[in-house]
Amino acid sequence: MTAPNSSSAQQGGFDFKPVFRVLRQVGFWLVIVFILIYTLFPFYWAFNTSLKGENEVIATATWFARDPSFNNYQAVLGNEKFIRGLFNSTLVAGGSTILSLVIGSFAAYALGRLQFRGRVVMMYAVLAMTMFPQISILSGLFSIVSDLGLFGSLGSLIVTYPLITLPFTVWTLTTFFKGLPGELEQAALVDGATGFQTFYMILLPLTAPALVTTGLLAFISAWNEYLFALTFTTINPSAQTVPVAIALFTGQVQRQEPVAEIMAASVLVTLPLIVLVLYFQRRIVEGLTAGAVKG
Amino acid sequence: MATSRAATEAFLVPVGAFILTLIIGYGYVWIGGNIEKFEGQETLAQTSSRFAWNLLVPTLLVMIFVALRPLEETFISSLTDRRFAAGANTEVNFVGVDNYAKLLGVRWDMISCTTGDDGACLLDEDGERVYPRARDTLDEGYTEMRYREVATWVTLGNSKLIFSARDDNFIGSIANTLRFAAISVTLELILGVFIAMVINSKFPGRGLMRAAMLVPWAIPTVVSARLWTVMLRDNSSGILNSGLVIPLQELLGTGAQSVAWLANPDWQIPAMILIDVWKTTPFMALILLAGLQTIPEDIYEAADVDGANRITQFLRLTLPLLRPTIAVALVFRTLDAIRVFDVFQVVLAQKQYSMATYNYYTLINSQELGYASAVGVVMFIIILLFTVAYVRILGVSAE
Repeated sequence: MTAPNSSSAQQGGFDFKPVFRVLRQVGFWLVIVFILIYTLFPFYWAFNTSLKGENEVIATATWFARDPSFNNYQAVLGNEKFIRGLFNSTLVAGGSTILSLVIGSFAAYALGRLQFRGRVVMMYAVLAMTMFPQISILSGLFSIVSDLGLFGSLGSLIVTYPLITLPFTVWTLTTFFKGLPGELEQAALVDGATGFQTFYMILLPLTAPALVTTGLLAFISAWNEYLFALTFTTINPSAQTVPVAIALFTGQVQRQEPVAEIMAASVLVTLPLIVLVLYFQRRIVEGLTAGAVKG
Repeated sequence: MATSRAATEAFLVPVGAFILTLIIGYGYVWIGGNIEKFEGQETLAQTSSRFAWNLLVPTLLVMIFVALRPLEETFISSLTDRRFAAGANTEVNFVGVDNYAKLLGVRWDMISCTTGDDGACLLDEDGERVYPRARDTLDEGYTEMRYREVATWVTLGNSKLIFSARDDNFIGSIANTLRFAAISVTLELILGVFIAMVINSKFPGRGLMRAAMLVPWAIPTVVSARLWTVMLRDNSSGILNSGLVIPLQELLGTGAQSVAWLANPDWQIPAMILIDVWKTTPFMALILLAGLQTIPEDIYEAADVDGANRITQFLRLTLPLLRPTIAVALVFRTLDAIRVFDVFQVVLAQKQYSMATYNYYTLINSQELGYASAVGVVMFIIILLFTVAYVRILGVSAE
């Protein structure tokens, strides 16, 4: 009884299965498009705003600039503070990245390849540093920085940024060091290499890709840092980094806030990061997840 | 500088003596235990251990000089009335726990309503009971200590229970920060799991999608804060109002009215949450995606064979297997949210505080370094408690 019934239903009725499949596909792509709009729309908006004139910016929002021009970009690139901010940021982020790569690779080699008492304690100490609240030590660090005579200088930032960049540099590099095959060191030991020679002649070159990834992550986080930069450069505007310059942006003419110029500056600062992120996308994801998931 | 040392000397001497005793005691025991080994050759393991610690010296130095020493300095300053950027010969006094007492001083009081001649409560034009000002009715201490009313707790008959604080800004900032952290981390987790599940299915352009999601993570928070300030303008020049809120209201038939996201105090914290969720959800999704990819495909096939539907599979397989990843993501996101600074400082300035921006403004604008240090110490303790609780509950391991 049942068999003919069901077959007649299939023959007589309309088969919904392919329709459902198409609907599901469409729904899936709609979700993808929605996620993309959600993540990227603000950038479109910054770009759109940066092409508008100051009057159009405060009028009712339009999806496209009525009379797009690059005047705002010209103004920003002619703004001495902004250019100096770019220069300062490069110097500070570069300096602290190199510092934490050198220090971090030493520590990561010890933590990843050597067995010694206190290793786990040290791993926890580095992890604790990741969770360390920067704001809690702001006033204490301020006292120390000014005791050292570094207050208001770029040096104060290069010296203090390893607090932010070093912990995850150590963690990520330790993961990479652990992944290298053990025979390498044994071979080096047989050949009579000292521990340090094994480290910098054999293992370090092998971690070069990891160094690039970690360095990039450290650079981005130092580039984006705001709290220390804002506090330690309060007395010396010429040492401001880009985030501080953008936060305190004033146009060439002191009147209302130059919103369109700020947006142009934002686009200019974000573009290099976007290019870097797109280019190193796969490695950044690997580096982030190695550090974050294990940490 | 010399004066600040003098102020804290009395406190430092016993502490220093204690630490010195510990070091000498430990050194004595260590030498006693190793005295025989010093005579012979080092073993290979000892050489390796010594080498490892030598390699760790720079990291230890960084830890001491940019984390522990400043933390110590913050602790010490928090017990003084030291000022920010004051001249070298300004006097600094040891004030004990005064800063903390002021920072955390709160009290609850019952206030009865103002009564008329007939003994009944007076009512205002809106028919609400009229209450006297707290400082007029309560004891001397209330005004002397400069308590200010923060909130009405409950109303019971003709009286109400009021909550007052000596530093209402700080108490407000704790409330703001915890609300911000709880809501934004929850939203980020839910959205993050959803997005990670979507991206985990195979489709052309998945790599590009992952890259696109890194973009909000990579841009400076200051830039994203500025960007959202423009999008959240409280009239039709803000795209969120003219592009979303007003069309939606017209669709629903309710009166079209812009939302004053950043001017209306009720909307300020939700706006902060919106910005933070936008910036960090993609990052959360990437971490969760990495966790998802470690789950083997075949257990889902087995579940399919057993006839489990998608929802059961998600609840019974995906979530439990994703738990360690979720734990780690939660720990880091919560701690980040509690110390939030950039967004609040750039968008709200001093309209409403997070704990971190309150710390910053007491240090830079009010120049009260001692008081700001006390704020820092309180934050440190709050974050420490969260960390310990998380590590306990979730069993996060360093291995």
